[in-house]
Formats: sequence, C-alpha cells, structure tokens
Amino acid sequence: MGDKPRAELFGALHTLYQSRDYSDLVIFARDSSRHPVHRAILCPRSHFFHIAVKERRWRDGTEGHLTLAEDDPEVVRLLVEYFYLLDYDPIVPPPKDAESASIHGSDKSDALSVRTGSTDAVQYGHVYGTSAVSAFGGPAHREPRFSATFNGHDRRDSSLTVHAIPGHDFSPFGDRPPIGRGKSNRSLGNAAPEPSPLATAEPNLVLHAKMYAAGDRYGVAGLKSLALDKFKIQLTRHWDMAEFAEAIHVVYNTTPSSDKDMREAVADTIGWHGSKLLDKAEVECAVMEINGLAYELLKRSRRAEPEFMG
Amino acid sequence: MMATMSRRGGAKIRPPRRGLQGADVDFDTTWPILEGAFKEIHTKNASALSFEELYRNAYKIVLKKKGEELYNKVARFEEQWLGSTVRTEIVRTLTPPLTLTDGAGRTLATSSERRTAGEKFLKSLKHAWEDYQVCMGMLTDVLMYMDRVYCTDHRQPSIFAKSMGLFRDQILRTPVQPASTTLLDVLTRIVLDQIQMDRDGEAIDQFLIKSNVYMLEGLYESDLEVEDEKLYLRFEKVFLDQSANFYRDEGERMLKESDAGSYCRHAKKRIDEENDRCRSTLSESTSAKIQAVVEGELIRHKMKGLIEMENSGVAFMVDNDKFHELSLVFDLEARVDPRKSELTRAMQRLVTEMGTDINNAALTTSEATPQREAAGDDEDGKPAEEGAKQKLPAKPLSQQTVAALKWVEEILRLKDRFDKICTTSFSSDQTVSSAINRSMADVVNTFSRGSEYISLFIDDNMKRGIRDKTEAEIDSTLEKAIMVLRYLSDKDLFETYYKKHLCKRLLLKKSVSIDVEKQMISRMKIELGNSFTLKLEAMFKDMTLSEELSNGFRAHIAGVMDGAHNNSKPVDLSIRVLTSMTWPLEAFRGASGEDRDENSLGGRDITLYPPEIERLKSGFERFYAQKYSGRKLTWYNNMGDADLRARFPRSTRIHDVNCSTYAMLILLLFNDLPAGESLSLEEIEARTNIPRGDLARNLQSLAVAPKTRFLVKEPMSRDINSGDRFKFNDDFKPSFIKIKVGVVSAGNKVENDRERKETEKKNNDSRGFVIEAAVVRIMKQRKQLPHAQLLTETITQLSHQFKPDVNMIKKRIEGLIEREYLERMEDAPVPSYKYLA
Repeated sequence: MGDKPRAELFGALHTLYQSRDYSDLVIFARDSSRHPVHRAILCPRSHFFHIAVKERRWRDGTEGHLTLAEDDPEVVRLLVEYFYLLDYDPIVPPPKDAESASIHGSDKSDALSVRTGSTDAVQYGHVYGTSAVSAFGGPAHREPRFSATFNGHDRRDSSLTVHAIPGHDFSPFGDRPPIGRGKSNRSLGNAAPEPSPLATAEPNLVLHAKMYAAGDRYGVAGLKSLALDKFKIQLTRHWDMAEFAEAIHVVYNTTPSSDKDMREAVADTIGWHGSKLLDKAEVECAVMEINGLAYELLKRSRRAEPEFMG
Repeated sequence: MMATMSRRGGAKIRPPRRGLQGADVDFDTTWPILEGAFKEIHTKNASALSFEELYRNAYKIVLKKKGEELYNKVARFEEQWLGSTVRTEIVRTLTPPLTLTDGAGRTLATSSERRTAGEKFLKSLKHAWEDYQVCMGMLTDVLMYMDRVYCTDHRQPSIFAKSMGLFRDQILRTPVQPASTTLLDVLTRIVLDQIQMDRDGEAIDQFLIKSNVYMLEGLYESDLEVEDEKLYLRFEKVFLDQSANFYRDEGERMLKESDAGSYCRHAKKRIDEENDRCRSTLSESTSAKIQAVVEGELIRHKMKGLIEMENSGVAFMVDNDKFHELSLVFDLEARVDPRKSELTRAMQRLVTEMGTDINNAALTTSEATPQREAAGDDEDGKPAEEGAKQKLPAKPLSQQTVAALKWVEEILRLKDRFDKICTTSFSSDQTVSSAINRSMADVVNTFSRGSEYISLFIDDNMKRGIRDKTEAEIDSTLEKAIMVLRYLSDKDLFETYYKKHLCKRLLLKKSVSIDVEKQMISRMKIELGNSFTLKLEAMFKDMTLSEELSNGFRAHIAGVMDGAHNNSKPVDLSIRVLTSMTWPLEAFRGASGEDRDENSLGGRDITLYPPEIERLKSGFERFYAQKYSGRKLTWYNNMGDADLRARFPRSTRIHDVNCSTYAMLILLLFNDLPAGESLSLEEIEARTNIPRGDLARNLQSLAVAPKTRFLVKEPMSRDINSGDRFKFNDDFKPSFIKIKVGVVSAGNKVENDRERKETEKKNNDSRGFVIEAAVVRIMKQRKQLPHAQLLTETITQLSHQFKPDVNMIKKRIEGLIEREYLERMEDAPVPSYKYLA
C-alpha cells in the first residue's frame, strides 16, 4: 500500500514526459529535434542544466532553450527520457529509409510517444522497478543532490534494471561476483560470464557508451551507472559483435582516463574472450590505437604475478 | 634509484599526448572562442553567451587531455586581465591625500580629505573584488569539467581558487610603483585611518570597509588556502597593534585628565564600540581579540592607577556612595581578572583605614581621661545608674562606655556600608565580599578592647537599649552584636567579659528582660557553640534555683514564726546562691579595691550584724545546710541591698528606703543612738567591720549626696576621712516616698587599665592552660610530630576559641618539655617532639 503514493509520483512523471505540459525549457538536438522539458525535473539532477539556466546568467537560461550539439539526437532523446522515466529503452533503429523519412523531429517524437504508450504497462513495471523499491524500502535512486554524487561512481545504487531482478545474489554477469574497481580479485583463470538473460537482441553497445558519456558530460551520476550496467549486460551477450570495436573507441574517447568503470568493462571482456577477440581486425586496431586499453590488457595478463602497481 | 621511486609514487605515468582517434580537437581554434567569451564575461557582456557552447568547448579540450594547457591559458589570461585592466583602475583612485605621507605613515591632508579619497579607493577595490568574484563564478561554470577532471586528477587548485590567488598577487601584493608599498599596505593603512576617524567620532562608511574585509577574509597567503592563513589575519595583526598603541595612549591621557568615573564609563564605551565595530566594520572573528587588547590597555594595565586616582578613585567613590561608579570599576576589572585583585585590595585597604580610624577614635576617647577614672569613683555618691542615663558626657567612665557603644555602632556601620557596596555595586561577588569581611575581622581583632566593647554593647542594650523597642528591633540589635562577634577571634576573652557583665546584670537586676538575655544566649550558642554558653546558662540556672530557695526559706520562716514568738517583725530575705566557679565574682572586687582580696577569698563572715539580721543569716545557713549538705556559703554583703522603712522628723509619712546592705548596717547603728549623739568613722568601722573602702563609699552616699543625706557629717566635706563624725540628720526632708540610696560603681563600665591588664593576664593564663591541654591532646594521639605541624594543628584546634599566639605556644611547649611531657627528638631531620607517656 506504500506503493500507491510512489506509483502516483512516477505515474505523474510519466504523464509529464508524454504531455510535456508546463515545460519551461526546450532542448534541441543537432538535428533540430525538439524536446520541451521542465527545469524542475532536470536541474536538480544535472549540474550542467543547473548552471545553464541558473540566475539568468547565460543566454541558455534567459532564452529558455539550448542545443546539445555534441550528442546524437537519439542520445538527447534518451537523456530526456531518462530524466522522466529513470530509464531509457533504446528502440530498434528504424530502417535507413524510415530514418530519412522521419527527419522532422516533432513528428518523430509524436510517433515515439504513441509507441511507448502502447507498451505502457510493460514499461512501467520495468522502468520503475517497484520490486526494487519495496526491496530497498524506498526509491531505488536515492541521490538527492547532483552535487553529492557529481563525481561519484556509486556502483551499489546502479540501475533499476538490475535491482528489478528478483533475488539479490543474481548478477547480470552470471555467477561471477560483480566486478569492482581497483584491487578486486580478477584472475585470468576466471571464466567469462554467461550471457545475461536481460540482454536484448540489439547490441546497442555504442549507444550505451554514448549514454554513459552524456551522463558524464552533463553531470548525471544516475544515468552513468544505469548506462554502465546496461553496457555490461549487453556485453555478456554481444561481445562478439562487430559493434564492440566501435564501442571501444567511443568509451575511450568520450570519457576522461580517470573514469575507469567503462574501460574496465571493456578490458575485462577482451580479457575473457581474448583468444577470439584479439584475432579480429577491428579489435586489434582498437588495441593498437588506444594506449590505455593496451595497458589495461597488459595489466590483466600479469594478473597471476603479485600485484605490483598500487 | 630514489628518483625513479619518487616518480613512480608521485606523478602518474602519463600516456602520450598523441594517439587518440579524433585528437583533432583544435586547441588553437577552440581557445579563442573561450578567451573571447571570458573577455565578455569580465566586461559584463555575458548575457549573449551560450553556456552550452562554452561548456562543450571546454569539455572537449579537457576530454582531449588538454586540460593542463587550458588551465594554464586561463590562468595566464586572468593574470593579465588583473595585472593590466583591474589594477590600473584601482591605482588610478590613489589620489594625493593617500600617497602623500609623512615619516610616521600618516597622511598630511585633513581627515575629511583623507576620508573621501580613502573611500574612493575602497570603493574601487570593493567593486573590483566583487566583480571578479562574479566573473570567476561564471568561468568556474564554464570550466566545470576542467575543475572536475583535470584539477581533481592533477591536484591543482580549482580555477576559482587559482584566480583568487592571482587576484591577491596581481592586485594586493604588487607594489603600486616599483619598490613602493603594495595595495594591501595601502588598504591596511586606509582602513586603519578610517577606523581611527570612527574612534574620533567621524562618520565613516562602515559597510565599505566591511566589504574589503570580506575580501581579505576570502583570500589566503598561499594557494593552498589554509584556514589560518587568511590575508585578513595579516591586517588584523596590524589593526590590533595599532589599537593597542592608541588605547595605551588614550588610557594614560585619561588617567591624567579625567576622573575615575568618567574613565570607567569611557572604557566601557570603548569596549562596546570595538565590539560593534567588529560586527559592523570588520570581522566578528576579531571581537575577542580586540576586546582583549582594549581590556589590556584600558583596564588591566590601568586598573591600579584608576583605583588610586586622587579625588575620584575608589576611595572617593566609597566616601561619596558612588555605587554606580563602583559597579563600573567592578565590571571593568571583572573583565580582566576573575579575582578582581586590584579592586579587592583597594577595598580592603579602605576597610582597614576606616576601621583603624574607628579604633583610634575609640582609644582616644578612652585614653583622654585615664587619670580621672579613679576620681570618678569618688564623685559625690551620685547613683551611677542615673548618672549613666542623665549626665553621660560629664563622667569620664561613662564617656568610655559611650566610646565602647560608639565603637560597636561604628564597626557595624562600616560593615553595613561595605555590605551595601558589595550587594549594590559588586553584585555580591564572593571574592570581594569575603576579602572585605577578612579585613573587617582584622580591624575588629587589632582593636585590643574589641571583646570588652562588644560585651559592653550588649550590656548596655540589655540594661536600657532595648527598652521600649519592638521585638523586631530587639532582634536586629541582637543580630548586630552577633555580627561583630563573628569577626572576633578572641572568643575566650569575650566570654570573660560577657560573664562579668551578665553577672552584674543578673545580680543587680539590671536586665530589662530575662527573655531577651536568654535569646542572646541561644544566639551565641548557635554562633559559638555549646561549650561557650555552658557557663552562661549555668548562671541563669543559679538564678532560678535561688528564686526557689528564697521562696522556700520564706515559707520556712513563716512556719517558724507561726509557732514561736510573734513579737518581732519578720525580715524578708531574698538570696542568690551562686556557684563559685561559674560566676566571675572577682568582678565585684575591682571597685572595692585590692586591699580586700584576702578577705574576699577568706569569706565575708567578719561583718558584724545586728541581732535580727544575724538571726536571719544563721537561719538561712541552717536551712541551706539541710537542703544541701557539705556546701559552704560565702556571704557577699557588698553586692546585696536592703529595703528599709524609715521615719524622718520632717516628714509625716513612712518612707521606703532602698540601700545597700552595708548602708543598712550603718543606718541601723543610728536607730539605737540617742538624739544628738554622733559616731566617728572608726566607731562605725569597729561596730560593723565593713571594709574601709566600702564603708567610705556608703557613708558618702548617706552623708554627702544631697538627696539621701540621712546623716550629717562633721566636718562637712566631700571626702570621708578618719576622725569624721556622723549623726542622724534631723533636718532631712525627703521629697519622695521611695528613696533609693545609690552606691557608686555598681554599673558595668569599661575597665580601667589596671583592670584590663588583669583581665588580660588572667585570660592569657587560662589560654596557656588551654594551649597546653591541646598540645598534650595532639601529642598523645600522634606520639611524634614535627614542630611546624604541631603548631599548625594546635592553632587549628583552638581557632574557634581564640587565635593563639605562636610565641605562647612555643613557651608552653618548652614548659611541657621541662615537665617531661614531651621531649625533643635529636635525630629527626626537622625539629620534632616525642610524647612521653
């Protein structure tokens, strides 16, 4: 019964996302797709948006619109979706012709809402993860201030998608313990995780990497951990795809080298499937070109020896 | 080896710059965009800038690992901006009144010129600082990603902190002209100058200074931004130094030119002012420090001078009841010294001075007429009691009594006065008031006649002072006596006097109210303890018993009379049987002279009585012996009195005459004498055996005093000499039915010197025994004890009785050693004694 008020809030957010009533800021993607949003929804969770509109200091705030020119339009759309639905659900990219056909953004967004509307019930349960809420006795995302978690990489509070799975012992990577940063006991002898049952058919590795980058760029910690989890889940099943090589480049080029989580996910995967992956030309090219990656892999190859680096 | 190690531990191993796909981010094209925007920001044209665009550009530079380059570029940009544009702007406001200084650093212009110019400078600095804060806030927004990624990873101060450091270096720390003062120095000087104007009463723009103080509080000595290295502290130190100088001078000047009251008010005002100034003009964090400075300069170092100021210092305030000013002094010193030692000392000195005056005045009064005391006894038979009431000033002895009463009153007044000061002005401070009390005690105890005077004060009140007073008034009188008594350390001496005085009051029925007497005793019991009042209470008990005895004897006589011959009239006897150890009977000897000492010891039964009196006396002795066997009665006739019924030729009525027992014996002689015959002094003496002194005084009363001249003396003169003859005065015409024949020296007066010495000697003797007893008691328990410790313990044990004289204790210890109660321990490291069982 405690779920009802919560469901009411989430439902309201959902409605707000669809209707965009009362919106007071418009986000444009570089393809001019238009996303009317609410400052009250975005600013408390993103340092970037907070500053952009605060105190009418910048043009963005005074004019009430800004363009996120750095991101793919799809990333922008999912970013906005995340702000309202606490999750993003990449749609299957439409066929080439369809994409060119629906270049006019507003139409597309209408079409989208119709589509999401049709899967409402399923998505609702999936996105808000009521089971997670009850399991933790409160909203799964408990990050009250963006500033507090601005730099944080809190893995525990990762994605609802993960929490939504019954049974806490379950790991998206099969029976391996979750991968931690730093001195976790990753040994070479460890077997690669089984493909996660949550992984979708579409790899979407590049997309998740870009979402992660967007989370980093705009200071949305929750989005970062959500994207990271999705990325890892997809990797368990799609590491073999050609898209992986591209995702590697995205990971290494869109986040600072101090941001380790995605890089480790990449290096771990190459480590587990090295024999197969390193033979691939595009992976080889990536390893050759990206020093950081080569170094990560070298570290893993020396794992059997005593830890040397602090 | 060391080098490699440290490199590994410190800096991270950096990947090569090159090698990233898409490392084509063109710093050289992106930077101008940012730089242009920064310029806009600094010139307040930011509203047209897109945050998203600037952020994106900075983000990309950082992402492409050009964070360090960007950081340095921004720093260099800010450095130049501050060094050229901002600084020039500020330096331009440095107009001549600020730059022309004399050797002492003070400008030569008038204060209003300086103020205007200073404010101009302060304003421009304030604006520069505030603008810069806003601008750097915006830059921080744009460079947020750089702060987050580059500065965090490379342990660089945030760009904001960095730029604040640049502001400090470029604006405040750079000399105005080569090799001249820095703007920080100028700022300090101007602020101090303005504060000085404020102190001098000129209005200044406090908020303007406060803004600049904010700036100093926001800047640090180094880019590490250590909390206790704020630039403000540097200013604060100069401020405190300058303030100390100022207040030192001001305090000295005020001590010379002003009075203590104004000084106090001024000091208080200054402290409050400085407090307010910290709130309104400087920083609250300075409050405590500047307060300490002002308190130090205006109070701590000046307190002594202030208290001792002539014609306005504490002495003046006390003399003139300046309670408020005293409270100011108190408040001031309380700020710097929780013990208020200067004020305490001053108050103690005053108490001692004023108390000594009181003591001296009392001594002067009593010693002005020492020779005439004896003469006073011979004053023509005037009843002492009446004389005390009516002609006080004329009689030297009474004058002494008055001195005693006055002394107690004065002491009490002194106490009241200082008590009032303590409560009104010193908020009943414990330290000060107990110090004052100690001084009061010293005053009382240095006065050699304290014990006697206090007892005399009570005596006088018991005899007449409390007459017609309400219960509350009596209560307060008793309380007064107790208050002075509290100060007294020689309680044993007081006890001696009190006993003596009480004795006379009881026997001569001089007490107005026995109830009040008893109240007094119970008060003393509470104050001084049970043992103190034991003997006094015994005296009251004797009085009650005597009452019962008299009644019993009266009944006994009546019984005898009924049975036997009824021809003789019964003589009523009222008797006081006094326990000899309890009553200070020697008190009654003093007046009769020491020639009677032996007699008084040997008993009084040498007096010759007429038969009816003799019968009565022996009758009582038998009666008493029946009741209490083994007791010896000694008769003190000199203390008794008698009621006679007398007929005088020139009066038709029967008169009631009250006179002393001796006078009665004398008068009875004349009953049987044929008319016209006379008796010589020697004959009277032989027929009565009355001691010569008592005889002479009684004859004086009967033959010289005009109101009771029952006898005629031959030759007619004041003094009674041998060979004088006495006969019944047929011409005596009494004016009242009741006639009271007074006898000289019945009242309690101040002792004369001889008496006092005697009392003291006696007291010292008894103290000697008490000390010996105490020493033996201690040693018996301790067996061995060092000398010093024995002294201390003895003094402690005896302190509730009196304050033992150390020499006396030493002498007594010597005595005990001689009598082999103690022995010196030869081998002890410190002088010690051993108890010999």
